[in-house]
Amino acid sequence: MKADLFAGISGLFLSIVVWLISASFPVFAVSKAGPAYYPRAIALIFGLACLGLIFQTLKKKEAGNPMTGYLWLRLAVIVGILIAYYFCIRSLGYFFSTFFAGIALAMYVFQKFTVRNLLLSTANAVIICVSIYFIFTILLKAPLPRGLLF
Amino acid sequence: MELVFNAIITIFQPINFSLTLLGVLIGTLFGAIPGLTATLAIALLSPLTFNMDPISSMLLLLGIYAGGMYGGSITAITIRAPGAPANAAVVDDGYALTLQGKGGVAIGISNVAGVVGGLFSCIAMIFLSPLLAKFALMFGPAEYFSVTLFGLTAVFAVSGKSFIKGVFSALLGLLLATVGYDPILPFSRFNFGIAPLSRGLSFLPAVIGMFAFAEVIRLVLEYKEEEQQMVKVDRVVPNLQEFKESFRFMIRGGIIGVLIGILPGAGGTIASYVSYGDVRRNARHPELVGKGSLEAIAGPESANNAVSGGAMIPMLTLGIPGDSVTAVLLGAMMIQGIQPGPLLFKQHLDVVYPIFAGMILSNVSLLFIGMLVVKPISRIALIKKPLLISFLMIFGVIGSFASSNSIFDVLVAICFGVLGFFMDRFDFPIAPTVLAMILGPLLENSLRQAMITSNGSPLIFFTKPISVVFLAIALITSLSMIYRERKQAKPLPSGF
Amino acid sequence: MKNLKKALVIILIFSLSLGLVACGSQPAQNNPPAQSGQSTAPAAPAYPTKPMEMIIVWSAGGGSDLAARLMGDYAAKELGQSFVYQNVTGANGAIGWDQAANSPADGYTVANLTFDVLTNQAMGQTPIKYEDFDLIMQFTTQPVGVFVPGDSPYQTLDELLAAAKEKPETLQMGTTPLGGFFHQASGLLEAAADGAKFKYLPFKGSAEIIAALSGKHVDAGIQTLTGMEQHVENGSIRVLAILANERSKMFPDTPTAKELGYDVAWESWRGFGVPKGTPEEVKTILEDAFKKAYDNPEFQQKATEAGLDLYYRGSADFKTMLDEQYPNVESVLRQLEFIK
Repeated sequence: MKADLFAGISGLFLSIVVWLISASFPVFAVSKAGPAYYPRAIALIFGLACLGLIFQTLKKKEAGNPMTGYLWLRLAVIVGILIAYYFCIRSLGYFFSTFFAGIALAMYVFQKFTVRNLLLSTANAVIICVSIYFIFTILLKAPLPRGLLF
Repeated sequence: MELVFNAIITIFQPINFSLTLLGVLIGTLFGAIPGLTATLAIALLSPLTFNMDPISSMLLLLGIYAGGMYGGSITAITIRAPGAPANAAVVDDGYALTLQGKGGVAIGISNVAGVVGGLFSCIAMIFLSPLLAKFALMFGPAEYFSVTLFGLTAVFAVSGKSFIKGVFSALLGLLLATVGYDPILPFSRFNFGIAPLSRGLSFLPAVIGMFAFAEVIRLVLEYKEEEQQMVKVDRVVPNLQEFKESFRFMIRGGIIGVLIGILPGAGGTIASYVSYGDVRRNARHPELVGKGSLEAIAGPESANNAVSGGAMIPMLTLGIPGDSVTAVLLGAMMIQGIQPGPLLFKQHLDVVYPIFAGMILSNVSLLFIGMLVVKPISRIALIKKPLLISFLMIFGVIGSFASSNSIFDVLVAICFGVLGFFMDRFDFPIAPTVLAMILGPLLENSLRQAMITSNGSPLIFFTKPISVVFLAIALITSLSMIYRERKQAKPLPSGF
Repeated sequence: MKNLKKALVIILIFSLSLGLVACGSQPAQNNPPAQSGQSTAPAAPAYPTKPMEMIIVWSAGGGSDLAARLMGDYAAKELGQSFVYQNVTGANGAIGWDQAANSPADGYTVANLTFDVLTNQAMGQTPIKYEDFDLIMQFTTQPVGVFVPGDSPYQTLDELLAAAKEKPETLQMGTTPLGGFFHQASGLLEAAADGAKFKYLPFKGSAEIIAALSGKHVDAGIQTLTGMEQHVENGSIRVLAILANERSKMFPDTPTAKELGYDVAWESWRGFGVPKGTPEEVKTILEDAFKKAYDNPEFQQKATEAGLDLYYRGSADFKTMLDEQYPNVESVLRQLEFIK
């Protein structure tokens, strides 16, 4: 319920922001309804829906799925891995970043650092990496992200 | 008649026959892997078909098309991550059935439904093409607006527990769809000076994020070592009873799919959601829908396959592609020197009949190949969770990159992954957002075109008969959904 | 270990099936000897020694994409290498051209250029100019025509323009997004017929315009000639005039606007360029290869089958043409009040 209230308020905020930003959109001589026309209409309805959501949440109290501190931590780690993967792929290219991100995520989920788990994760990452490379680059001649390390 | 025999002989030539089968197999596999789609497979493979015989290359691509619409349901049902957006409608019921130990039958029904829908659309294409093409041409801006609005009412069917939350999700999707270029004017909106954002939030990365990455996050958060899932796919072939029960919705889904297919722009995802709404309203056991109903698998899975035949109609008769897959097919035909258009059926029956025959063949072979790959593909659910999670992450990243070769799209997918995770966690349904992101651009485009036509008067929507009909259907369906849901939510309201 | 085996099985099936495709589809068999590009010879340009990249700014499978790939494949044969095609779409091509112009100027990145690079530049929404590229060649030209639905009351261009003059901003003219190529052509026509004004109904692309014309949702439409032959032959759409200097091969009986007294010729084109600053020797090699590929009768035949209007301009002629065309783009956009 806290989440619903949060969603309602941030949605309201979003619709106001959209409304304000669209005020600065240019007007074109060729068309009366400019770029701001439709986003504003949607923002207006969205704002009303958010008010409805806030109202409903305050009226009925329902328990939702809580997020514990432990879950927040895990969420932060997994999103961190994804973001790191994104930056690595940008700078280093497909191969190494995919290989390491694949191992890192699997090892993190395994939780126990055993040789068996490490072997499994590595083999998994190698198989996926090589088969994607084989399919895209060799068979289909389609580009994969490239960077410093090929 | 001779042409028909020739067409049959042509498609049963060993090379053509095997290419069709191969196409179905590739389509199914690309469809099944979250992140990769049939559209991507066709786009990547079509340049390789330049040097092939025109009929052979069409058969290969048609095979991929048929397989691609089905493949995604296998992963949607077994691991709760739809392989392609068009299969997202069966996630809830499919995964619920898997947890009940009936995942195999769910996939089987999905396969049969796909074949029934596909064949139904072939029949529509072969016998009703000229008629349906005429019907499609009757749609001007006002009609498109109303039919898109009707498509949006499917939101009510996928809203889950709370309507207001469903509406919230849908409007969020509509708002997100406005990022990027204005559909009719040269101006890029809400890009905050970030160059790649100026083209908008691409749909495929967004969907990969909301389905695949959100699932990755959810799996990581809920992972417990002791729990090694025992998802067994035992019986795949549905029995007569199950088939009979869901056959009604296979046909209804087929009709919905064909009709949505002939209207450019919407495609398989919308068709499957609209059909899901139909099941929800008319199922024999409406209380089961969303909790493991075979009917709710049959309808959407038939509808998304039926889109293929529907979309082929304007492509072949008018040269107008109905979705991204037929757009690529159109290009592939043109590079072979076949120009689809109103005269194709008069001048090039030697090309048209093999295409018809090829579509029938690919749908029939989908039945066998579909059944054959279920067991190997559904083993994906037996892979150790940590490995499966990293598999999903990598294919999600590569898939979102490959759809338009943009590394920025990977970031878009990650952001949508986080958004999707939170929405799912706090009971905001994801499906309305996905629906709205597809329909948003169509809605805005047709609205503004209609406003230009009518010089700004909204009366245009109420003076065109087709438009009025769709507005009325939209109103009736949404009211009936709201009414039903209210009745179900409060089992014993006072006075009833 | 068991699970690992299963994962392997899945991936093997996947790879195998794709392997089969490769066999079935006979990919261009021009395997280069070996990729021995570790040391570059000092004097004579050892180019190209590795696969090159071509950036196509339109989506895979579309008309421009197919044309670029077809031309690229034949040029690659001449160069003894292959192209890796990258479709970098969005923002009317601006994203892909931005990436191409900022790639290393070593000849390993070739950009597919289309008319829209001029529109983007004139609109001023992208920093990329056509001058940021060293041009290699132009290989197609797409003249546009004025079309009306088959049963339209307007039999000639004069009648259509007269009606648009009599009742300004009531006749609906189908174009692609406002400010784009078709809209510019129509704007020039308005100016030439002085006083005529259309009401513009913008569509996503040519296919939608064709549908609107066939379904009579517009009074007229501006469209490239490509793909229109069947509709005209079928009688569902009529062509009133061609906005080009010469009559087209496709519709030899249709007059040009110039013949009718309206000085409008507006053509779209496709070509190739490399980032500015690419060494002269490399450019010469590329130009020669593309020219040879263009002259290849096999290419000519395939391109004609695919409905491309071939037209060759070498790098110098191409540059001259763009230098002439660009100010016109600016002026028509000014006339349509998109820029000041």
